Amino acid sequence: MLENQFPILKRKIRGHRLVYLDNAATTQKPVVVLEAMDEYYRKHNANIHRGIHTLSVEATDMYEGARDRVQKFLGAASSEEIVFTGGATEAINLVVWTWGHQNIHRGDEILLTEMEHHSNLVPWQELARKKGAKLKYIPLTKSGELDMAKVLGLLTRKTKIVSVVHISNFLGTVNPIEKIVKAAHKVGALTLVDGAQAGAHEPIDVQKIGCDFYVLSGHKMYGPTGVGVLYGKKEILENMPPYQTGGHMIEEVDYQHATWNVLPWKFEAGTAKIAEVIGLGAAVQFLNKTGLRAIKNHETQITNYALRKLKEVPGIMIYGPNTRGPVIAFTSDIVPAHDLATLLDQRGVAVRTGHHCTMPLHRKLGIQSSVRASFALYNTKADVDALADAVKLAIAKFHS
Amino acid sequence: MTDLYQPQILREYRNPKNTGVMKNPTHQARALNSSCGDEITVYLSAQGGSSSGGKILDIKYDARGCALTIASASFLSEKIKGKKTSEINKLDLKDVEKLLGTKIAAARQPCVLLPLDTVKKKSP
Repeated sequence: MLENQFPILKRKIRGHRLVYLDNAATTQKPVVVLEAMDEYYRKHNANIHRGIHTLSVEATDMYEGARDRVQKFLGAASSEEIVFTGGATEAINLVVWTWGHQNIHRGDEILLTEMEHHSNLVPWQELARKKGAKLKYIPLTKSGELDMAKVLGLLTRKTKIVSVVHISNFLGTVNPIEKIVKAAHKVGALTLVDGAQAGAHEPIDVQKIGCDFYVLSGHKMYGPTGVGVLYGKKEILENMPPYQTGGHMIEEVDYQHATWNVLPWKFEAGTAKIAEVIGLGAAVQFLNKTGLRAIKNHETQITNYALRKLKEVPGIMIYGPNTRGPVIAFTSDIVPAHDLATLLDQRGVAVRTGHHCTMPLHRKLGIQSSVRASFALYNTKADVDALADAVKLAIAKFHS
Repeated sequence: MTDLYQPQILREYRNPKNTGVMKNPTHQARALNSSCGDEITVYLSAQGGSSSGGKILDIKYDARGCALTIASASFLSEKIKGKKTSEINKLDLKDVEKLLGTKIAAARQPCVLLPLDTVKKKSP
């Protein structure tokens, strides 16, 4: 069934079966997602909202239907709390440059972790620089988990926000976000959880987590590129100024002033990413139908098998904890990461190499780059075997 | 497709020439391959000190990178000794491929060009 949903997996790369292990960068797209977007363009294409004609009403229903699906997917209390953005990065920037700009002042503290992706680091860094605020980081233990013993000491009455990745895109660590949210709320800080790597792999319930903001990346959860999600608690979103201004996000405009639309449209200026949102809605339906728990069980088996197979290869160093999400970054003591990725590609194995947008953490670990294999629901033990065999061949090549 | 990792490239990577840090260089430049984090610092000693147009008397580089970057830096360091800036500025991907003895696919061109680009950035 899955193979029919992902025709790209039948491709041959340099004469080999494609083994796609770059899912943390982007997942492949199931046919149901491609068909949903195609059907919108073929049968219902129209701009949404305010349209009286049939196509516009249909397109609006499809777009807002996707919002309802995402709301249920995240366990949000209301669809007003679901804002569509251009991606997870834009969702974080939205919070930084609206809520952050309004609420963070000189001397305030922003608490991040040492494992943040640049997308949840650089925007806060820029805000802190402009405002004279202080950036602090929750350190990591040797095994690559957050040093929770240090969290309480880092939270002060000056801490205005704690922004934490749910699953690390480099270490695979699944962070105890509920505990962090509780601790942050005790000092009056808000919390943002970066769920870019969680959406396709982990059941999410924002009300249970208790976070104030949660962000998703559409294309990392079987949806199209160009769309992401910002979840925010209603009362917080209501008090935030708009991010971008222009069409659709207004209530009333005269030549000197404007007032803003209600949630969530206050944050969706301009023509929406209609096809992309509809595609994301189909992806969410696909995830629900397959079942996040079943997906997680399968991926955990594959990840554990891969950890075992890679540990058997001499000279391979694996980063991150034993219990983790479906991400394994590693280096070889013989083959530089970039060369290893090139040699894997020659065997049809697609992995990512570089710093994976976690440059400060790579430097802290004393490495320039690493190779990352990341798994999705369609990966199999045969894929892992292909990876391990290709790694062994690459090492042999550099030994020769 | 031709194999990138030909014996001459792997040999050069294992035993690169002119590596290290130079004391009192006349010119120095550091560059980063932002896609992978590889980095290189190039030190040049040029005839006539920091004035422009002099020949390269000596070169050293300190690189942390992939086999292609290191091999490219090593071959290039031998090639440009005794050369003038005007000659170095004319070098491009084709010359680097000639030094490496193989064609380089687009995905890896930034790796092999990093040393040359760094030299060009600060050559006298």
